[in-house]
Amino acid sequence: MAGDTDEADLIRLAQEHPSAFASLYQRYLPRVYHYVRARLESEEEAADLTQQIFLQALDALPTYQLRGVPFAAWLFQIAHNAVSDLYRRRKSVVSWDSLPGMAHALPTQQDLDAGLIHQERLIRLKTLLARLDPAQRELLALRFAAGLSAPQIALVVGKSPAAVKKQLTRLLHTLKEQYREP
Amino acid sequence: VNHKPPISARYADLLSEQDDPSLLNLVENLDALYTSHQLPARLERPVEAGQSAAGEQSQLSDHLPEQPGTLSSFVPQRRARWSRLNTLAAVLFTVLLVGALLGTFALVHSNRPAAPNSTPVTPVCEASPLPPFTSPLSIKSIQMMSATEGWGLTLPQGKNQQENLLHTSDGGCHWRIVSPAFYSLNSTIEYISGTTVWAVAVENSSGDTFVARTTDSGREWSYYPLNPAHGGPTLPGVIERPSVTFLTPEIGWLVVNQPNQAMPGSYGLALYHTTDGGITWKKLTSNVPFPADWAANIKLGGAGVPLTMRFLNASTGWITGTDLITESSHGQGVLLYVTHDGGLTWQPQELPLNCGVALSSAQTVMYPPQFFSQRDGLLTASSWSPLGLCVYATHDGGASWQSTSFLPFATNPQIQTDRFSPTPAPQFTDAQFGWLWEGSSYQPPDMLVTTHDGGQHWTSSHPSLPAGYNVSQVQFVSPSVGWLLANKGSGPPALFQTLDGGNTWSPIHYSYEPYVA
Repeated sequence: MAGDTDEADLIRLAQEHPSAFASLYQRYLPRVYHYVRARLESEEEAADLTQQIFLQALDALPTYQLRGVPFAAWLFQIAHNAVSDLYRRRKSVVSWDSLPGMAHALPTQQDLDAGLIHQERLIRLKTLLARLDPAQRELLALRFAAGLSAPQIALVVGKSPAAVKKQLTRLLHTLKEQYREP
Repeated sequence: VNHKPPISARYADLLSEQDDPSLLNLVENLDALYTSHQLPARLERPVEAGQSAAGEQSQLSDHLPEQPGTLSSFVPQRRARWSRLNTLAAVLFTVLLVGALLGTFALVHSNRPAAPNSTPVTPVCEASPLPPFTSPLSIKSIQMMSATEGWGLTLPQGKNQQENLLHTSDGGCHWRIVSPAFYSLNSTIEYISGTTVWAVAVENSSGDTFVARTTDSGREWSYYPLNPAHGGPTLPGVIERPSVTFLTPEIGWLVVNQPNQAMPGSYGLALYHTTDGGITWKKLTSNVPFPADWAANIKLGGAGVPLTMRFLNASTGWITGTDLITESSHGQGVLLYVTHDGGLTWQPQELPLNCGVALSSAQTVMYPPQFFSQRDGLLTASSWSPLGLCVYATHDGGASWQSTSFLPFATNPQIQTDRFSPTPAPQFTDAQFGWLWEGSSYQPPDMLVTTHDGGQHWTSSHPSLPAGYNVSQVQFVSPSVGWLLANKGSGPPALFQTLDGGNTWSPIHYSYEPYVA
């Protein structure tokens, strides 16, 4: 399991030898990409931004303090700010309300295996997500795409862990009720 | 063992309503939606082969995942230069900002009295109401691994008077009881990270001993028999509190005290190595070449002096302890043992008799070194005569050590100090900041002693707690963030947190989720 390698040692090593940052890159690439992809329509754009996020992290790594903010929270603070900056710069072009075509990203074979009903349910869930406000979608992206815990999300978005946990619980409860309806 | 944890484990915090299939279904589908994108090939292969700076790799990197190379090559150079210029500007700005803050802090600090000052401020968090028929939690000790994640142990409680293992992921506001079900942990618990623990556990029904391991903050445990009759490794003596250390969650070493085959009736130290997280152990040597009388007389974790072991990387490590017996055979230097081949062979390493006093090995306990990079580390020698401690610093990965100044201690004539520990052991969060708690055995008592320059200078202060509290433990994870456990009367231990390096302490009104088997 990737998480089994001592992250603190990887960070220390990368702080001394930038070449060793590749291990951290490999470890966090799927989570960062999924997070960015959940916020951007274009695969190309998401890949570019993912690269930029890791470059920023590499540049800032010497200032990162072990035993301070968890590395995942630190990295996704950078990612969160990068996505926010992009949206600010391109507000007139990209709307917060546009969700990536997540259902299309599922491999065709998986779709077939999952069956038509399952696919329909995923599409319905996608529609429900599209109705959420940007802050709510950000919360879900940080929890499900980035894989952060509520306390880590709290560090990224600047709220208390209790508030984040409460928001997530309420949000899921609401989604569950809507999702259950035929 | 290498598989993705199930949905129920990955989203346990969201699935408190365990019997709700609708919620589980929703979470499963959200997980599928948010993680279904395939990674673009250009991200998965960021560099061309052969561009890695192999010459810069340390020995540790041999054990890291295979690295494709550097990141720099997949980023346009122009962009990289701009980014570095921006970083430089940010650093300059930060330096100015920090300088201004430090100036302000110095003014405030110089006016701060050493005696107890203001009462604590607003609680860090409020307790959630306990479910019916649950008793309040009594935290005996904590081991925080970061500002948010950490472990704790309860005072013995329940019908079996059992200590429970706790976990927090929000800085101590909420704790979960994460003790493995149907097993009792003995005192051998190694906290490897904020999510990973290796421990020795006894199965309640059979009494058999197992290695218990969790990598997800105690939500799920795996058990591996230690009894050879059940397929486990031959590790006689492991129950008697071995000295264990892990370099990574997978790579670790273990020293046990075993009967010496060559000298019936005596004991020797045997060293084992694991590369699978402590599930299987390979014996490296049963003849650790410490002084014969030392090995024969030391009973680990018993009446003798506990040994501690710490590794800088896969090859270089140290064993420290005390040398009560063999001063004459090792000159006048304080003593520790070093290996450069992963534990196969060990050599004594003598340190300079500096710190302005004459330390001798027979009067000294060496605490394990702490490293903050592959080069920078600190090591503490604690001495009975003269009573005090000396911190040694290395900047070359432990090849050489330079001493700092001697911190003298005065004892409380009413209380005898620990015969195996002349002074409290300082702990460091980085190469500069360290702390120790001077309890009632010393004069003046109940002082928080801190250094901000790697042990060259120390300052003492009383924590600003309400009257009547006796501090039992202090722990920092950074120069600013720390916790303190304190008792008052017969009530449950109170937890306090500081965010300003110990100037003010705020109570944490912690709550907990009772254990659900």
